[in-house]
Amino acid sequence: MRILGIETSCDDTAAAIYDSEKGLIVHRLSSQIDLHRQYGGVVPELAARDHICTLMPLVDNVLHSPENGGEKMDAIAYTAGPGLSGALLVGASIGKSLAHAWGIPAVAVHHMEGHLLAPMLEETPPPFPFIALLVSGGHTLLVDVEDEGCYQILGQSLDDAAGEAFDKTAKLLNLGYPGGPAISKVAQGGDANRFHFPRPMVNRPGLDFSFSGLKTHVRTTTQKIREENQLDDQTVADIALAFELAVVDTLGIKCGRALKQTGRKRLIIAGGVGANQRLRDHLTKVTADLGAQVFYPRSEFCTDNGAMIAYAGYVRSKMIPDSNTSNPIDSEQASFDVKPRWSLENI
Amino acid sequence: MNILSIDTVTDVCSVAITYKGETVQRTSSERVGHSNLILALISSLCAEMEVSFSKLDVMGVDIGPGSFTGVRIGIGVIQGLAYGTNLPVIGVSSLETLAASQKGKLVLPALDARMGQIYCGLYDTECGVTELVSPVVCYPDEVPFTIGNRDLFGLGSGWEQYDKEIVGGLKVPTWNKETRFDSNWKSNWYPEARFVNQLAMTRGLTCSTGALNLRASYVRNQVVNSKRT
Repeated sequence: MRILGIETSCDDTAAAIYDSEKGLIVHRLSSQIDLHRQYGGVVPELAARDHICTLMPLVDNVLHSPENGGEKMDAIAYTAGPGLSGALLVGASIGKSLAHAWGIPAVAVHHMEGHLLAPMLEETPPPFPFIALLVSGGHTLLVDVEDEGCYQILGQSLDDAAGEAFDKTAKLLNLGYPGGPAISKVAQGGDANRFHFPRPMVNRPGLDFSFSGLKTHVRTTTQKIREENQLDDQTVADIALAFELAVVDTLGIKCGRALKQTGRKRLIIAGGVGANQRLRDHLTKVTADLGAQVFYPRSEFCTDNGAMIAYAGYVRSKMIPDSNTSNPIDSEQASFDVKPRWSLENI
Repeated sequence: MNILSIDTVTDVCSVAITYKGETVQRTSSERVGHSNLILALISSLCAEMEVSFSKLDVMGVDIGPGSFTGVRIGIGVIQGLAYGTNLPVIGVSSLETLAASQKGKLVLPALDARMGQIYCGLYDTECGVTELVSPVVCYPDEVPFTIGNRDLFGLGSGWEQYDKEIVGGLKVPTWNKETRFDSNWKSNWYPEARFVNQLAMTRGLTCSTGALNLRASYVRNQVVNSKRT
């Protein structure tokens, strides 16, 4: 089975082809980072406008790529949520209507299911069951994954997502957008002994997260130093490092707690923050101490991509083979409504 | 020329097929979102007229201005269908589509653009549809057209809320616009796919393009921090 995957939930336009026999065939991505940089974050309307110009040529590109070799698709998977409504609708309208024209099924994919299945695209995928830490600009989730499609949310952020905290902190320190790579780069020159920021909610039982208090702590610290005209490059680096260590440590504590609580022996990391090297190093140590294994998708599949949507679409189409028809006269099957808010437990 | 067009840029969405000279349209104003309706409307109309995509020569779509999301749904659906069936596409303006519903008139279509503004343009439908002023977004009392002595006909949702502002702001040199205008507009008028078909057929296949090249006409291009100054 050969499946086209389309991703437009936020600020990346992506398309990919996955083959159930041959694995990932091709993937392409167009990033909107430069478009949103001047605003310090994603502007939803600009994101949707860019998607509608970019997606169809990108789909054409993967379909006509030498890797695909002119093969026809058996299904089209598109991200139906969660994400930005206007952005999601671009992928949904094109994905669904193209599938309709070709008379093949269209599969609505949950973006976070795509992320947590992304490690399955690697050469040595983790066997089920496992714990998944999904950390991105829009989400921070700990999920118990018993099998394909069997997900239980163990904990999630009560306010800001970890990636959002990175972006806001970077903005506060004038480090640019996106915040994650900017903070990590500057933090390399930081002094770990100068500041110590709180690890939110680690002293409470449970697996939920909260990052807005940490962000406020950084703001208070930064403002005070700025008023004293002491905010030099070294201080910025020291603050960036203290912030990064606080996030990494907090995520590590919760992941360790989740592994102990469930007795699972494997942890997978996905989402844009999962590309953070300090987080990877720390979680490798945390899992080793617990006799567990950690799995990461390659960095380009940590961030949003079409490959994970194509793969998740394949998984879904196996589970619900008759989820769609080639001639959707029935209005429910013809609908391509999107779900900007959609729990992983309600797929 | 056999053509299927859709219009999704306002609250009312429509599909029209012109096949062997016969045009049939299906319209829905159900407030359930065009994404829930449009493909089902297309499918049912194709089935009813026994027209498959392979019998078509071209696809048409209203490319705006209008609801940003509605504009993109229309473009996305036609891109997907046309790409998948190797058909060329023709995109037409929502305001021109509105104007095309009238014959022998000077038409000022106006659609509510939110934030206290309207999208409007000026069209002469004496002989086909001639665009005199291309679409703009403006405050209703600042419509930047100078109208001569001809009767003017207003159309579209912009007239419902802002009829007095539009009439008051128009630069009309010689006639008593207030009395002439009061009954000379219709607000419950939406762009319809059958007029997209009509405009597309007038232009002909030489004006068509590939699905990859279809672009929206938002007209409002300032979408970050745009407030009246």
